Amino acid sequence: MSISAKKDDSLFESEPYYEAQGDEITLFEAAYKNHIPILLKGPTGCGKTRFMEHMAWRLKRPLVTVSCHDDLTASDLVGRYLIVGGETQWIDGPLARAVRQGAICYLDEIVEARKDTTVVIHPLADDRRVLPIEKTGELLKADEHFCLAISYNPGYQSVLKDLKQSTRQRFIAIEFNYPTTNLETQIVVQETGLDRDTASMLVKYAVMTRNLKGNGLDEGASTRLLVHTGKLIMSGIDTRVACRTAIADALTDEPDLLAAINELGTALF
Amino acid sequence: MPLTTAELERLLERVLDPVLSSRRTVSESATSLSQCTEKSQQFALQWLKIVCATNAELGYRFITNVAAAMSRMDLQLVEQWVVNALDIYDQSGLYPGTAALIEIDTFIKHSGTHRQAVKLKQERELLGRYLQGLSGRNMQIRSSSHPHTDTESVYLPEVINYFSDRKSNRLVLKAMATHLWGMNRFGTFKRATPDAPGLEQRLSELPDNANKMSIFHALEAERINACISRELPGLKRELNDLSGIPKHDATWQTAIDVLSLPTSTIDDTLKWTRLFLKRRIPLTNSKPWHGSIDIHAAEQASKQRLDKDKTELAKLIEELIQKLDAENSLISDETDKELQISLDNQSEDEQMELSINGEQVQMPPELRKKLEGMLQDLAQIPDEWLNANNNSEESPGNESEDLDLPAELPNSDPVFYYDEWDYQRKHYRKHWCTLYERQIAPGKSGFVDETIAKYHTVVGDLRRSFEILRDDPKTHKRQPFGDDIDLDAVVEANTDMRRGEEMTDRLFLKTQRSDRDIAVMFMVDLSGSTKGWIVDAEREALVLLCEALEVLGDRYAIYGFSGMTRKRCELFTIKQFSETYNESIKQRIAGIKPRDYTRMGVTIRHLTALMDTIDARSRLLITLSDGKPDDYDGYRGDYGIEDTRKALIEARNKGIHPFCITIDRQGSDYLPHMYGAVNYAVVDDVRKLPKEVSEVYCQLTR
Ligand SMILES: Nc1ncnc2c1ncn2[C@@H]1O[C@H](COP(=O)(O)OP(=O)(O)OP(=O)(O)O)[C@@H](O)[C@H]1O
Ligand SMILES: [Mg+2]
Repeated sequence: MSISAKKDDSLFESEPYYEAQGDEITLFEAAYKNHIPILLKGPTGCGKTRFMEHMAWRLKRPLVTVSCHDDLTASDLVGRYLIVGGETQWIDGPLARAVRQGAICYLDEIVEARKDTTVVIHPLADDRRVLPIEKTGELLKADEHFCLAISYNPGYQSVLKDLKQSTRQRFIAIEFNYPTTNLETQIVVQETGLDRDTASMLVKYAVMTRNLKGNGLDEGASTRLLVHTGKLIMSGIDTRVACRTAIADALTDEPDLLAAINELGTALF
Repeated sequence: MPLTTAELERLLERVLDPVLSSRRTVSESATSLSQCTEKSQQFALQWLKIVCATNAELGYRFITNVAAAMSRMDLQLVEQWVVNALDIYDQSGLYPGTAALIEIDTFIKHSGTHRQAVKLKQERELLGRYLQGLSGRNMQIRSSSHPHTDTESVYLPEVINYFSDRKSNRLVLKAMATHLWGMNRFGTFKRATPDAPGLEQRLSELPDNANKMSIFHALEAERINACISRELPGLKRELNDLSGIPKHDATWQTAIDVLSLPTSTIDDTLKWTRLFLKRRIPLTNSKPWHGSIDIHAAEQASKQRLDKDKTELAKLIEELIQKLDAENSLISDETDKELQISLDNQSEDEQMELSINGEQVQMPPELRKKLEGMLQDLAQIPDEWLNANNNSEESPGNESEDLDLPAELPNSDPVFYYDEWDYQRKHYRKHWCTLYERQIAPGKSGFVDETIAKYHTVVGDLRRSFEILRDDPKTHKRQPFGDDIDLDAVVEANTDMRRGEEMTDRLFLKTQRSDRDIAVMFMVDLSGSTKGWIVDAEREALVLLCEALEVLGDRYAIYGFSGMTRKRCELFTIKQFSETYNESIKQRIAGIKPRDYTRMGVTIRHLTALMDTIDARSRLLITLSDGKPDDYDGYRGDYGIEDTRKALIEARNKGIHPFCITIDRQGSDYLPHMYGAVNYAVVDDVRKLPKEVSEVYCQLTR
């Protein structure tokens, strides 16, 4: 079982750094107030997880994150009986725990989970706001403050993993994209301590790789990759080397593409 | 100081006097040589004497071509070019010797077999990707002996053999591609408004002078160099390391310094050109990567593109407004929507913001891309182009609808009728298209085996990756029997038992082949435009695909489509779902041939109907195409695209997942609108098509 929920579900003490791309904060708050679950769409590494952390801090709720994978079963989410000291004891899964304590539950990459798993969130995600726990017979009513958010990367992926209409139509969707150039530069500066000029060159490089998307490249360099590159540079790695290892080689193995991406890199740095 | 035209003319006349006449002068040669550096002039004059010592006529031919040769090669190579011509003259006489001097291209190409030469052919793909990375607009790379750009393509020489080492020659090619891209990116051909005078006209208003174009180009090229240096410091550093790049005199340097300021535009270049012409400043040396300029071609292409962009912009705006209206997300609901796009070009990268009636709205990516593209042609987009209610009335798509082409007769083939969507009427045209299901005449029988032999490594790779898909074993938990014990289940059963509940018998893990339940239909474009290697690649792609799909066990069907007008849409059955992959199917693949046009909507509707009879968990319809929908009777442009889009929506509503694989590099301009942002793949090289089709399928269903 690999569930990466924070064990103590504690509150964030300091503000997680987040630069808003548009009106996503207002939207999220409005949805939260109205008990509407939220679907975050967007390419990898564009700040979805960071946004959730920021919102949890803003709304002063604990955040429970579950990274979904194709082996994730319903009981991994809801909970199971375990034997504790010779006694059987019901242990809540991360979802049930969030529902009970009124936390924000974030199911990352929901399409990776098995289809039958997705169904357990249906009664939670409409106006019933309940989680039926089959095993104990309990019909868990969600706490007033509970909030469900899921993420989904509609990028180049298997059609077999499309999000079902009956699932997606329960959510409001907030679309994320890579931030505008200035904003992204600011993020890289803030996250790595790099100077503005180098940071803006990194962003330029990322934009170039994003231009290549679709013609052989599935995704361009994400903000996350830029942050990695920036950190390498700050640790004294040569800029060109950092770009090659943290951006070019991280993006693709295909020699032709790699040559083109490196060619762009040499022109820039 | 380089010699002036008059000085040169006198010198040349003296040397070449015996072969000159009133109709045969050296004035043109003198003019072109006057634009060369002093060093180059000395070189030419010295060699002129040597050649004349052999033959005066050959000397005349030499001097008429040497300026061109020096602009294409460094002096070392120019020397080889003369010596080569002299050798040929010695062996074969005057005529072949003269030819060797005239055919500079041939010499460069031939000398291109030298190790240090760089051939465009080998670098083309890399440079294509490189340019794509640099800019939003898709620039094609083509070859031409005088490198230039027409704003749609970048024309590069077939061989670069300027330096005596390969690395430097590669760099020149890359710098040249970048430079020509830079002319587009940094506004050489940019106009203030669509009606503002173009560059050609503005130049014609400057004082006349034989050097006008060369002076203008040299100044503008330096401005572009500076822009590129700011944008790509890495390239600048590499170019600075090149040796033997000519320097400028003080007058030129002053002009270049001013033009290198970030605020300088084409207007400044024109001002300096006027000044230089007035003061009769002689030309300076151009750098090996500057290429040349073809203003006429560029303005022609840019004009055409703007017309197209204007209608597409109107459409995108209308779509945006419709979407916002549907979402009710606009506060004011005035019917008159006034769009405003504010550009913040204070900052280095232009930030665009969109507001409607003063309310700021998020700009959809396609709209942003379109505007960014247009802003390479225009400094400002006219307000009326942004006005949502100013839908340009286009002529209807089917102006020639009553074209009476006889359907091919006799026709015993099955016939079907389909509606077609008319986006302007916003209604279907009933029973508009007639579709015939046709047979394919079998092709030669060895084709499939030959293809497999040709691609045997690829076939092996594909088989392996498809096997992984197939064998991707799924472990099912909580099974009543299986290969292993499910610990989670046992623990749970134990707790149940202790709590006095019934213990389940579902305690096992069972590993099972994944239950892929996929039916896929391939729809192959057989339009006339696929003639040649595209259809060859399609044939091969189908062979590889069948091999791979047989491994996988997915159900599949393949159809070709083409036609001529709505009265004769044709569907060619290559393999039905019910057929097994056998010899006659192989012969049908071998037998596919390019036909007429591409009416996509009707084909999609027909295949959707066929697919609807198939029961599978996932159903895919994959189109292989080489361009936009297009038919003889006006089924093109928006009309064709909108009908195809509608047909795809119909398919999606039936639970079919459409996807498109295209070799049209412009595909990303219109495919997102038809298929959705992620449901297409552009294969940028036909040669890769055979392999890519299977790989895309693999990705799509993994
Ligand atoms: N708007 C933003 N504000 C602050 N930091 C950001 C922002 N966007 C991206 N980042 C940086 O990028 C990194 C990656 O973002 P994050 O992990 O949130 O991506 P994600 O969208 O969750 O990706 P995935 O889909 O792969 O999980 C963050 O750790 C942070 O450093
Ligand atoms: Mg994340």
